Amino acid sequence: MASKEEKLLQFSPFSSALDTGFWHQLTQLKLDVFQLDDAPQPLTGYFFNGDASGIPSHLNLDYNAFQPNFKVPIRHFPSRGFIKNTNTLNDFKTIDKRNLLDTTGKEIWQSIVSGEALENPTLLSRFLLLTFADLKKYNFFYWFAFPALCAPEKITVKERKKINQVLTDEQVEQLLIAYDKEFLPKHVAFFLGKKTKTSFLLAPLKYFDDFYSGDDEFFLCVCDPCNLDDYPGWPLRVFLTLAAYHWSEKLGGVAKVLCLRDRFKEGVRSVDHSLVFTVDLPSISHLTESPRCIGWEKNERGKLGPRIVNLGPSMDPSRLAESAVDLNLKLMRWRLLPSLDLDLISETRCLLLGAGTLGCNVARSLMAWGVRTITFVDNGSVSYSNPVRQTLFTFEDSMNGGRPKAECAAESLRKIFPGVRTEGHVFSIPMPGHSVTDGTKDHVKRDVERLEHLIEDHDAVFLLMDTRESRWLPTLIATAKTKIVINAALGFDTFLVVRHGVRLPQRAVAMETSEKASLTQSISGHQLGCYFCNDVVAPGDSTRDRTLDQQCTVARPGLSMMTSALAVELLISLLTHPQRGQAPADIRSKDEELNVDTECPLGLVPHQIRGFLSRFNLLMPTGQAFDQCTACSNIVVEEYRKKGFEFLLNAFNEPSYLEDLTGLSEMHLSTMDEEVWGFSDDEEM
Amino acid sequence: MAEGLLLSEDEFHQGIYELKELSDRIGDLWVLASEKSSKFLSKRVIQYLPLCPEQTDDSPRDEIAVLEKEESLETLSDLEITATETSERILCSCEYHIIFSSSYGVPVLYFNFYKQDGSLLKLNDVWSTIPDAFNDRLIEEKWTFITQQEHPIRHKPFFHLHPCHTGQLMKASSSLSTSNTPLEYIIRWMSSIAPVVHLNVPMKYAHFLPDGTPG
Repeated sequence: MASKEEKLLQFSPFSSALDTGFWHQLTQLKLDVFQLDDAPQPLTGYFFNGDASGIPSHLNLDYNAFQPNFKVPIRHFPSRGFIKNTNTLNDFKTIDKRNLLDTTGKEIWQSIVSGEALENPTLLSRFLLLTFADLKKYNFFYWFAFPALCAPEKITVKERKKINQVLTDEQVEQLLIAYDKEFLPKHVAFFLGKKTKTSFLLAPLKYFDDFYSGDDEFFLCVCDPCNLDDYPGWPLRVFLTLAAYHWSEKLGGVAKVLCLRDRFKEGVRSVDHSLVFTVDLPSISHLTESPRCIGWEKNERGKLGPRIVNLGPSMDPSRLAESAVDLNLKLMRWRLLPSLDLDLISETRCLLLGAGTLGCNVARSLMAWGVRTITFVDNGSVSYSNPVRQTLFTFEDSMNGGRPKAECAAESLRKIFPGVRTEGHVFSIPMPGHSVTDGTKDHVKRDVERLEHLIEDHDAVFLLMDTRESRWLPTLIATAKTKIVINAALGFDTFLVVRHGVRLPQRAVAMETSEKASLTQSISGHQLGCYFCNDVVAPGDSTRDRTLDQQCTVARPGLSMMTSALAVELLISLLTHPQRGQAPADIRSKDEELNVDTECPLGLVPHQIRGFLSRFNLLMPTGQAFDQCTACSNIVVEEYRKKGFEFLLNAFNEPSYLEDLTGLSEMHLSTMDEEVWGFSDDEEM
Repeated sequence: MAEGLLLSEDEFHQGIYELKELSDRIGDLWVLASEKSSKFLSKRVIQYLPLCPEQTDDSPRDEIAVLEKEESLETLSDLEITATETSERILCSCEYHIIFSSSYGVPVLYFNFYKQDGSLLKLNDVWSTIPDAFNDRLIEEKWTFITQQEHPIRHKPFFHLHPCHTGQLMKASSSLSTSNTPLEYIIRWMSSIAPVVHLNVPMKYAHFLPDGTPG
């Protein structure tokens, strides 16, 4: 493979190889130490002459690059440099790059001329790094230079051979023994070698005068990071400048260069791919000025220009939190539930009507499931008694009259997890039986419209208020808009979680009343009842006749957490069911339904969950939609669709309007009153 | 050690010191690192990983394009030679740390794959670099589960192989031999998990095991 024709010696430049740890350290130092000081800071990088075949030569900067006493990894060789981190992008663009590189070039030249580099050959391998760190967006602009001096201007190759065409196996072994003893442990990449009659010897650069004898075959040795068969790597370039300056005359203008490549494969060492070049090395000892310096790295598109890297995904704490939350959920899917559709869950927009004990805990559980859009509606403010039960508030929120719950809850969610999209709306939900005067009419109308828009813009509505009648309007609107509704209500030691039936969109108006469920196994989702279906009175003002202690929600404290958790889990099961809102609810006896193979990967999707804490007991009743329901029956939905706010106004103002409309009044007349009223205000069926 | 399954912290330290010595002898590149009073083994290798390079990210390329036009610096020109890349592989810096988990009593492998600009490979990309031959094994054997976790010493995101099944794994692989020194333990463990994450463990390590097999 020896080539006789003379051609220019070409070098394979370094490519830079960074790691995230380096950028982390730069960020931290910039914020804590450098701040606005943009003076160059020292850095240590390293290169390697043992890479596997095909790997381009690279200069590495890692997590430890800024450490003043950083010892480079075993079998690697140091490269000293500095980083110039500009304060602005404009500085980065306009800084005189030629001048910056020339400064390093002059330093190298000085170290060669003064002989300092003979003492400390590490000075030959230098780099510089120009950066601008946009720490708001985690964008890092950077540009490496690996300075090389253009002297001698031209170096021609007389001959190129493989190491074993020049040295015997024995000589190679002698070389390696000396190398392993003297140079490798000290991470010295440049040294001298000579082949005598009996052996192969190595020496440090500073002993050239004693070591060199005209009789022996003499070698300039470099640990070569390049893997190419025909070319040496970048470190040789400055080494040849040094050799041309100090030794060219003695060497007679010709030098042999041993590019040592030292690779282990499966624990077996090989230096067979090392190269020996014979080159013309004209003297440059007459030079008084520093030669020109080149070496800016090309970017990934082969252009002479900077590179940019965005490290937001691995450095921005908010994005880290987001991906960690997602990963946690993905683990659940990978390990236990391969069919779980996490995207569907995270994209479900949830509207929480009520930001009290239920609202706070529902929001927390939704976040834990990766739900990213959570909107609160509440007209109350945080009071002193709230923070101990309402888990998104603190004492401070209750001071000075208390902050609005809806806004405070949203802010709290963002503090817990910045990835959540959340807002709080402060207004009250108009209720039947709470009459609307001419003075308040416009205001109520606005609130109704607000609620209509919010329900329209969300996929699931949670009813988490503390009165029964405030649930009526959202039940009606959500039924008309075929949205999922999860309703949760608390007694003292009892609770109810119910998913409202979701009408089939095309039949939302004309639900066929003749279509009765086959009452053997299940009721399909569009035939399920709502919160009001089991009541035979219309909602009215339930707070009017209450004493103070009855107006406060007095419940066993743990009840809200259980209820909120069940409400969210019911939504997730429903979303995971292939029929979603129309998922049927089982009506078989309890033992049977526990054994049935469910369509939903999470298991059963009950219609209602009723809990009795005094007995630590849960029931899962299923109820069909009632065709005279005051909130979800066709006649009510139809009237609302036709007459809109005028219809609502009647419902708000006239206590018997809804009962008359649905025919409940008639039914009341034909029934023994005391039987009906007997369980009218009780939320248990 | 208890039934040969778990290591104490002292045994771990003994094991990694001895492994580091072996590593030096056979040209492997493990380094003993000491950070924040924790000792661990560390190794960094540049290699190609089987992954299509993607060009899309949200960084402002325009800024760069402007600079490319404005700059009139001398190129490396006639003395320059550059390597070529193919489209099915990507050059990565692979960083591996072997860290002791005191809660599991086993060594844990933390690792990161960086592109040349220092950006981290995404978890999905890391998954897709796993050799096909290991996919079945990955699904069946949960111990090889790769996930992203905060590095226990550096507190930065690292990938890791979850340690919860390491104890069982070691029970299975050490059942043949009677004695099991910390060094043997770590070699067996390392050679079981290494191929999944492109960590080369030279066969020569096996010569230091009593039965000559790496587990």
